[in-house]
Amino acid sequence: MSAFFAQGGYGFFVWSAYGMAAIVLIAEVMQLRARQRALLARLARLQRLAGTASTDTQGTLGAAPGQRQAK
Amino acid sequence: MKARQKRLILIGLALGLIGLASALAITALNSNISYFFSPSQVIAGEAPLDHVFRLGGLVQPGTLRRQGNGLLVEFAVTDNRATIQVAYAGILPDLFKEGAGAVAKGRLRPDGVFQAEEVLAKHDEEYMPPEVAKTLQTAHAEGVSQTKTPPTAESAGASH
Amino acid sequence: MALNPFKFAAPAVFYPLANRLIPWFWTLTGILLALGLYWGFFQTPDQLGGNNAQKEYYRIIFVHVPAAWMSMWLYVIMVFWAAVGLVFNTRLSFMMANAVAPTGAIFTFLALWTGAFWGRPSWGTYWDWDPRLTSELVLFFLYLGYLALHAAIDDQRRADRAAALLAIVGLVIVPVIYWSINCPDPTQCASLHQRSNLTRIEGNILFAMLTMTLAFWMYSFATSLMRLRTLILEREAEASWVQELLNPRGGR
Repeated sequence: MSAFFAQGGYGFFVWSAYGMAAIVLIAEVMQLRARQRALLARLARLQRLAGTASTDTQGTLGAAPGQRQAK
Repeated sequence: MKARQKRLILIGLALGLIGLASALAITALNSNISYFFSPSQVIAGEAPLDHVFRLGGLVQPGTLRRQGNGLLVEFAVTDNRATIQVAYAGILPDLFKEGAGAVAKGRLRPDGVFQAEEVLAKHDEEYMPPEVAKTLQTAHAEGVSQTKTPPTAESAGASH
Repeated sequence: MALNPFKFAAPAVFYPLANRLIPWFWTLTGILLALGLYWGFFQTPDQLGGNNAQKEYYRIIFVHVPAAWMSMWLYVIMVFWAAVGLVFNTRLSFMMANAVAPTGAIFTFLALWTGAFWGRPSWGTYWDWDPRLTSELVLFFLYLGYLALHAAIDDQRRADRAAALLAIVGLVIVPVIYWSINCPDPTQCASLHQRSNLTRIEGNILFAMLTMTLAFWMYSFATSLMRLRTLILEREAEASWVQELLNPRGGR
C-alpha cells in the first residue's frame, strides 16, 4: 500500500497531478449542482410569491430572472 | 433568408481567413523561429552570439565527464554532422544520458564551448517496458545503420 | 426566422432530455474512470525502457494526454455550436457553446498542470517556452477570453454573438497545437515535447490512456448537459413550460 503511494519515490509528482485533477473536476460538479439547486429554489420561491399575489404572474416571474441574467 | 445567407458567407469567409492564418502560423513555426539550434546551425553561425539561445541534439556517447563533486559536467552535443562542447554546473535531469536527446540553454563562450545555464532531457514517444524496448531498440539500430541518411538533431533526438 | 423550429421548441424539449441523459453519462464516467485508473496503476509496468526510460512518474500520462485531447476537442465542439448559432441564430446552439466552454477551460488547465508535474521529473523543468506548451497556454487564454467576454456583455444576444466570433477566430490555435509536434518533417518542428505516436505505446498503457479519454468524454457530456440544463432554465424562466415544470398541478 505504501509502495503504491510512494510511486517509486515520485509520489509527489504523480499525486500532485492526479490530486489537482480530482479537486478541479469534483469542484466543477459541485458548483454545477449547487447552481442548479439554487436556481430551482429561486424559481419556486418566485412562483409561490406570484401565486399569493395572484396578479400579473408572468410579469413578476419574468422580471427577476431577467435581472439576474443581465448581471 | 437573405440575412442568413449573408451570415453564412461571412462565417465562411472568417473560416477561410482562419485557415490562412493557421497555415501562416504553421509555416512561421516551421521556419526561422526555432525553439533550439542544432550544432551544425551554430557552427554555420546561425545562432545568436550576443544572447542566450537553446542548443539541441544528441549527447554524444563517451563524452560525458563529471568533475569535482560531480556537479560540474561536460559533454558534447551532436547532430551527427557537427559537434559542440557543452559545460554545465548543476544537476542533470533524470532522463539525461549519453546517446539521448538534450536541450541546453545558455550562450556560446569565445572559446567555442557552450556554457549552459539549464540542461533539459528530451525523450521519445515510445512508451514500452524495458524488456520490450530493448528488443525494439536493437531492431531499430540495425535499421538505422542500414539507411545512414544524414539525420539532423531533431530527427535523431525524437525518433530513436 | 419565424419558421425556425429551434427557437421555441428546442429548449423545452431538450431540458427533460438532458435530465434523463445526465445520470447515464455519470454512470459511464464512473465505470470508465474506475477501469482506467485501475489499469493505469496496477496493470502497467512501473518503469519504461529504451530511450524513454521513465520511472513511475510516466503514469501522469493517463490524466495528461486525455485532458490535453479534451482541451482541443471541446474547443472545436464549442466553435461548432458557436458557428451554428451565428448562422441560424438559434439560442440553444449558443447555450451549448456556453455550456462546453468552462469544461474545456478546466481540461486545458489540467493539461498544463499535469504536464508541469510530468515535465519536472522527466525533462527537468516545470515549464519551458516550447511550441507545444506555449500554444496550449494560448488555448487556455482563449477559453478564458471567451468566458470573460461573454460575462462582460450585459445583453445576452450580443454576448452570445461576440463570444462566438472570438471563439471562431481563436480556432486558429487548434491546428497550431496539433502541428507543433505532429508536423510531417520532424526536423522542421524542434520542440522539447516529444511527438505523439499511438503505435509506439505498449498495449496496457495505451488501453488505460484510451479508457481515461473515454471517461473524460463522458464526464464532459455530463457536465456540459448539467450546465446547459441550468442555462436553459435561467434564460427561459418566464416561459410557460418552465412554469408547468415548477408547478405541475397549478393552473396558471
